[in-house]
Amino acid sequence: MTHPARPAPEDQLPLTPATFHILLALVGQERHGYSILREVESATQGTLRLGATTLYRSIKHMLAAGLIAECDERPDPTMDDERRRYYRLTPFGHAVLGAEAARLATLVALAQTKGIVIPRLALGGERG
Amino acid sequence: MNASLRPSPPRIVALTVWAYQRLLVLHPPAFRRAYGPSIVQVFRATCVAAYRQRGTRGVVALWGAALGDVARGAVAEYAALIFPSLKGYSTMQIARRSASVLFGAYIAFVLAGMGFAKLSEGVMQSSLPTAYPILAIAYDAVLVGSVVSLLAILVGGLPVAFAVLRFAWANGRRDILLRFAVPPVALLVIAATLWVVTMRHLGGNTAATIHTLPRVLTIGGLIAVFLAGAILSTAAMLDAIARSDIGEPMLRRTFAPGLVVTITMGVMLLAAAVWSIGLWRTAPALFWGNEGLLATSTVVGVALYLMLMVGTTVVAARALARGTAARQGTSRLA
Repeated sequence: MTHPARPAPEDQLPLTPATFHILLALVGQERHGYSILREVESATQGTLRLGATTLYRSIKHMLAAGLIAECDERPDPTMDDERRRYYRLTPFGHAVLGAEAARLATLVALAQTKGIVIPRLALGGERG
Repeated sequence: MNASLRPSPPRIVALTVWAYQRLLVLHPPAFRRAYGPSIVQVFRATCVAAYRQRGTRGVVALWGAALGDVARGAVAEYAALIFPSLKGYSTMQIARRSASVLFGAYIAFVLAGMGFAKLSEGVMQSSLPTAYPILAIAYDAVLVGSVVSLLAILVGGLPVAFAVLRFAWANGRRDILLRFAVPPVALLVIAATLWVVTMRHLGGNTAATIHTLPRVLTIGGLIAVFLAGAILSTAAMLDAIARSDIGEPMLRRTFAPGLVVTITMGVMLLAAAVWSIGLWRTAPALFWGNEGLLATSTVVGVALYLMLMVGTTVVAARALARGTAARQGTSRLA
């Protein structure tokens, strides 16, 4: 049986906002579902609130695409509910996240070349 | 508050989680089995947090979003089962999948078309088509369409079949060669069953013999064998293609004949619909009568075959559009 070539990161683009933020939430840290939910809500200052079903539909797709993987061990088994499932970003997921960020940056740059004034969003930056 | 002194979730939270858990029955079973417990766990944590912040009102306020989330998720998951997403697949995988789905849809369309032809047989042998040419024109359009689509399938499919055989032979792949044995074997089984049925003198479509149990069972068995043979043969061919490394360009070359097949399927569907409406307008007694297989309802048969034709045409068009879009995407990247 032949094994098809692994898709390139660009094949996964564009990402949905939910997928993008879930991947961002997993950068540098393994998290369980509720922790991802809180992190996404916090990072977007409440503008993106994921429902539990949406979260796990996204997780299902990301697992299938190899963007994330389920962790075999919980970060601290003594401090946690043993039924919780933890997820981590895979190197491929990292590459896809980078490709999506680059795609978005290209779009922003394109808009700027057309003279579009991009208001600075209140995500830790100052208005001006 | 210290975690150890924190009270257990109040009744409203327990009740909300219980109701939410029941609601998850809307999800497809496989998704529910895989993620149901985790979804409930996250929802429970959300409920507890909402209760701590705003009390009972906070928990009740969650329901609007939760209902929408579950309903949207259920629709999307069922839709994904029917039309799986190809996002993230390589263009090679999309090309193979598109060609395979198109072929499968065509075979299903042919089966529906054969049922339709059988149903219209009696009408076409009567004097009705002479009196009402619309019936003859529509029927002929279906026949011409079936020939054109078969030729297009052969033009697109035979090179792929030969390429698969060459690959299997060159690489000593017995598993693939064995799959090519399925259609001839299925054909032999169908021919043998047909011979047995013919030998059994089951009686014709007379009032006395048409609905006798042996006749219904025998003809039902023949149809089942025929359908099983067609399905197994198609599956074997598609599996043989999936196991072969025949290259994307070869599969892409099936899209042009695939377009002809899809258009022809649309034309045949239209002609079948025109024939059905023509029968309804010109011979309502026949339309509402029992001209179907084993003297079953004509209108039910017509509706069933037309629905199958619509479904398979939509699936074929969608597969072709996906395959073509992936091809264009490749061109843009290059």
